[in-house]
Amino acid sequence: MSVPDYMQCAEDHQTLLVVVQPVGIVSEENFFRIYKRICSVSQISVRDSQRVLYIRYRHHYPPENNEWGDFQTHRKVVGLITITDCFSAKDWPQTFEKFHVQKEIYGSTLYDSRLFVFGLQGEIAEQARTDVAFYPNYEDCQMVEKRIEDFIESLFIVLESKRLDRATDKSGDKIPLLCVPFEKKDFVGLDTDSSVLLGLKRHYKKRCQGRMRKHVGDLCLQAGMLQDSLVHYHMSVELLRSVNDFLWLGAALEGLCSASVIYHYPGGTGGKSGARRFQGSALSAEAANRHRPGAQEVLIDPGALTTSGINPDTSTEIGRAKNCLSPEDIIDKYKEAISYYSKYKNAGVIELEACIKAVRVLAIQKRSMEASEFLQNAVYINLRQLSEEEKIQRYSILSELYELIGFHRKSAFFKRVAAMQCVAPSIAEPGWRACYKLLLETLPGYSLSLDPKDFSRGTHRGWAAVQMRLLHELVYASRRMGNPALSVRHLSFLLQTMLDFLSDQEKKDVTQSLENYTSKCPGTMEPIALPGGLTLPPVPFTKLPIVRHVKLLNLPASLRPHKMKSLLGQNMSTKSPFIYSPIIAHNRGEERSKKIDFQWVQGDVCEVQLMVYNPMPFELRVENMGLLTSGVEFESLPAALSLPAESGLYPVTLVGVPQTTGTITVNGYHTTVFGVFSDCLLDDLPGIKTSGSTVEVIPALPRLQISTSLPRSAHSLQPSSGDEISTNVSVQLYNGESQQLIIKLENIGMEPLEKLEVTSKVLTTKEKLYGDFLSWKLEETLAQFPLQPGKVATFTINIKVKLDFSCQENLLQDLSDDGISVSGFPLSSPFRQVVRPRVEGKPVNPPESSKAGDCSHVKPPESTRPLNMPSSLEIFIVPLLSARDCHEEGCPGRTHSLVGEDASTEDAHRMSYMLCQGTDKTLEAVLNFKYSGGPGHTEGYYRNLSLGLHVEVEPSVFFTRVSTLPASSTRQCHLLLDVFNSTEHELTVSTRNSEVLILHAGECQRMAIQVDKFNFESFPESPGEKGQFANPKQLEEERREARGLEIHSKLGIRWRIPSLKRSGEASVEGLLNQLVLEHLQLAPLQWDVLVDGQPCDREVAAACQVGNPVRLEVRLTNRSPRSVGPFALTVVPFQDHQNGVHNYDLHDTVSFVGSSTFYLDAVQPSSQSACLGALLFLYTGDFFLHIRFHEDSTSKELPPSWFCLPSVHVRAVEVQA
Amino acid sequence: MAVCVAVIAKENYPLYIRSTPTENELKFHYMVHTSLDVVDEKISAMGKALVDQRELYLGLLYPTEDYKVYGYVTNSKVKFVMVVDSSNTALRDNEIRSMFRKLHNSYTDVMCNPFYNPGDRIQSRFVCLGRAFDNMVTSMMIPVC
Repeated sequence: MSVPDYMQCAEDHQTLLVVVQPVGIVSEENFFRIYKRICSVSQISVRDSQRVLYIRYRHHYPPENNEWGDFQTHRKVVGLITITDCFSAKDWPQTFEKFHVQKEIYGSTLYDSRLFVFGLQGEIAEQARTDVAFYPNYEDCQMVEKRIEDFIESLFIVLESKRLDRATDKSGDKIPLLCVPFEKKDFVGLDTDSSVLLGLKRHYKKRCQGRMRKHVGDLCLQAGMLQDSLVHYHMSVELLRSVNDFLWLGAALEGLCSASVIYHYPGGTGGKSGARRFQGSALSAEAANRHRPGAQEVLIDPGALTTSGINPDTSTEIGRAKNCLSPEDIIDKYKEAISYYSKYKNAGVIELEACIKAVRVLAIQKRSMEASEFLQNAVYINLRQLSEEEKIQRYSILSELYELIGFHRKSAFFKRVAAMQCVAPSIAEPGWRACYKLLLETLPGYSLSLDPKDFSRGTHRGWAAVQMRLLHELVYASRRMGNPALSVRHLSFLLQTMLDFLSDQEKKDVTQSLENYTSKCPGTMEPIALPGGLTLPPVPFTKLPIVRHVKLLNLPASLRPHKMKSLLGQNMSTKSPFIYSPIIAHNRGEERSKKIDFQWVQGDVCEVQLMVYNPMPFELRVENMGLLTSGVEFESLPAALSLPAESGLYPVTLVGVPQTTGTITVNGYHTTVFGVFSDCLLDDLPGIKTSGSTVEVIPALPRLQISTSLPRSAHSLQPSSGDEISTNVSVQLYNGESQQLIIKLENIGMEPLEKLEVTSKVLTTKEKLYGDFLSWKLEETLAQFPLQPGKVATFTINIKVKLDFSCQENLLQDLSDDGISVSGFPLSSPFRQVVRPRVEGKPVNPPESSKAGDCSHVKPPESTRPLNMPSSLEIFIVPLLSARDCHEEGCPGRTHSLVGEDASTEDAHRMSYMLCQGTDKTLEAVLNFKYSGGPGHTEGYYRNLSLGLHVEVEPSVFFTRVSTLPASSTRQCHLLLDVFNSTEHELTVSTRNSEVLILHAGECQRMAIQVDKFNFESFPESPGEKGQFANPKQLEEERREARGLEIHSKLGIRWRIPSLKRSGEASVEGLLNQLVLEHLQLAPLQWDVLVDGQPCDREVAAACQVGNPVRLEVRLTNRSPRSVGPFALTVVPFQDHQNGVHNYDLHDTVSFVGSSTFYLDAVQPSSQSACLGALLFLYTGDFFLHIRFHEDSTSKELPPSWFCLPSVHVRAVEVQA
Repeated sequence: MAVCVAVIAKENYPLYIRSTPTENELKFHYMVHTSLDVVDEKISAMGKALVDQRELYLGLLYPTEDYKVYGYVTNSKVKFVMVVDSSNTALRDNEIRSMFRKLHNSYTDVMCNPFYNPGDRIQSRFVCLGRAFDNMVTSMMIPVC
């Protein structure tokens, strides 16, 4: 016996073996249809007894195994059912003959046989034969089961008779020796009767008895008499043990085990069909009472045993309450049996099967360790040279058994060996498909799932070496199967999940072969369904490359959409009626965590930045890398990249264009690496950092492109500006110069540009800026709107730089510090000079300040004298200055000239020094173009394009000093300006109504401008109204600026550089201090002195005749907001001798008609008052009238500059006849 | 002496495995891998025993034609598996036991290293980490004559 039945289990011992075989040509389908029906009759309750017969059907059974039928009767073929097709009567004899031939094969052991003939009808079919059944066809054969039952019953009758025959064999002295095939030759020629030795004979007899007992036990077991069989087995064991008949002793022990197993585990150990198990459980109920009627029957009739004559000692056995082995004993006995079997090389199959049976029992007992020992033993049982198919079967069954006892790894190991056996090189036609199928079954044993998701969480925890091996085998098997898609999937999986365990060389090899495979069959993202019901999920290459960081990028600043303010407010209000609610805040926080707070625009390219790195030791080419999105129709623009070997983090920007609006979610990215398409979802990526992946897409907006007439600038504005500037332009201008900036606006988008708003922001600068830096007229540009895509509009901006024209603030400070002109008195009043003691008090007066001061207060003593008369100045200044100052100055008359001459050389030096320190000043401004149009406009979005403007301001002219000189008229004054040309070019300076002054480079000259005094009070105080809540200081500042502007526009000082053909304004706004302003201001009390009815405010002397009284009228117009007066005025006439001597002693020459003192009543605001008097000149001559105020309390309250009366010059002449 | 020494994590993946005939390393991988069935079985059988009374040494896991596989499990379910040439009959159970104890001590040293991340492979290329362990394993593999 050489063919083991790996499916055997202990309860098979109680079955009767029936072979069902086809004869002639029977289609497999038909045969198995009948076979199945036959198999359904697997157990039969024998009538009029409660015994149950179990039948084991085989459609194939090697006849050499049948030869072991005496050894274990369940191996004996006792029944034969033959199935045949026979369509005509003439075939019948031939068919019947075949049936007989078939019967011959198992002839020696058969109890009975049947022939099922299908298709034959007619005469022959009519004849009633017990061993032949006729059926018209395979469908119409309802009686098959009944026939089988009858057949089994007939088998039972034979069995029962044999059993009784053997059990009650009283021949006694002549019991045949039962042999196994290989023993037969040992006993040939052994004359049992004429044995010389009595001992040997007795020995032989015992052996015969023991073997027969065992045989009877088998028969009892088959016949459903469990208890009887136990008894017989026990007796047999004792008999055989005494004669050391080990093989049969093993068989007897195994029989004992089998019977005990059947008793203990009625459910069966083989895990066979449910029907049997159900029946088994029914039996177990019976078994529970432990008194099966059949068994009892035997036990009650001891005579049957005692009189058997086989062993007189059987009576001792009957007394035993329990013949059945305990579960532990079963295993011990199995062990013993197997050890006996192992003594015989030829009984290898028996031993192997016994092992398997024991393992199944142990599996039920959950004694895995012992079971594994049995299995281990089974592995080492060497049968004869097995065929490849048998090897596969053997390994498979070992695997199954290991699985049964819970040794999954061992099971997987053997399954893999079986798989390898399928494709062993010795096999002519390797079964790759079977190999693949078996390999797939090993996966759980190696705790390997083919779903990459199971590997994505954390690091890989598994037995990488063996798993990798298995994957390689799967790849190879699937390739040999001719399923490249499958091998690509497995290889991708290997690469993706085992990347950390692959050596550099392996990585290269794997990718190489992957590329080879994918060249024929690219890897997809489709799950692959296997015939076995397993589905291979797609394997996205999330590690090739590894993505560490995903960041959705905002649009560039110039393309970023902004929500219009008003609409935003509405949105806020619809969200919640509350300004603040903690619940809402919480919700918003959650929302924000997912949704990014910027927007993308439909139709505009959006970017997502990934930080990737390549873990491979070679350059990684990633093709077709694009974004996977949802929510919005999105046109992804895939990129191809090549990452260097084991690169560090590498930024990759993926772009795409949203085609519709809504909320877009970036779910992941797709790649093609080594010909495998992967869709990598961010959710599946471990350890990825992302700052949200959801963003809103708003409707399309136009795009504006700006080009300017100015060159682009390399300067970028300070980052503090807050706005992101897309373009910077720069221009160099001289201070005071203006330039036009022409901006071309081009709509380069797809939507019409409907709205445009321009704002400017001058970046905070420490420079004081006067006037409008930037001005424009938007109307002309807007007339060209809406701007269709591709169209261009122009827009003009005037740039005017007007910085401070004073060279430095501290200089002006010095001027005001001087204090000389603080009083602001018209210096024509010598009385007032004493009010300023500070000059003398200053220990060290900086020379420059005193210098500056000395012009400011100078007033020509005589109004008739022109300004350019230095001699008169000289006279006047000297007494005012201390001797030291005067000395240092040198002679003012020599060094100082007023107009058209150089200011001191010292000044020029100082200027150039100052210029070195801070020559170029810069001004920066941002022009914001807010524009909108198209559907985005209706949604309330706009875009903002910023243009940075960088203006370098070079100094043009400086006013190094400023001062005033009263003009001869109280309504006018002279403004003196020292103008310094700081350029390197010749420069001309002109005012509105004066001649041109030419300044060479670096030259400083003084210019005097005669200006009418300003009546600032009459200005509308609009800035004041605006800043109602501004503090007084600001108010004052604003008022001052307004005055400065007024003065500036009135002066209209312009410079021109003829060589460069550039010109500009020069403003004095920055250098007019309070002092100068006061000088320039018209006093609110306007005094008019009329001599003889003529206003006398000129240098021209009023002429009058000696002897005639001259009318003198002093008129006061109050322009101040308060009432003034009353005042008392005294007219003091004097004569100027032009040598510094004033003669006030004129009582004899001038007499007053009436009083020399006038009284003015209080004057209400904006009203007039006048007082009249008369003078009588007695002699001819030039007379001056000094009108003096009586000092009283009221006049002291008012500023002294208000009492600035014109001096009166009267020339008395002889009356001409 | 030992031909293969393996340290297996609680989750049954190898932390360390080394065998002397390096040319057929995979064979030992399979051998150790399948031995885990027995280890698991033994551990589950021991499960009821009190922790402090538990014997860490599992004894012979299973014999093969050429080798014997021994096992040892720590209280934290880290397994040590040692494959010994079955021709080496001189090796007695006590010696195997002491070898395991040495292995356990070395493993404890590795675990005590603050730079070792529990669950990582013990790699000899890190001097301070695996080198000492590796040296100890080497000493166990050198046949004692």
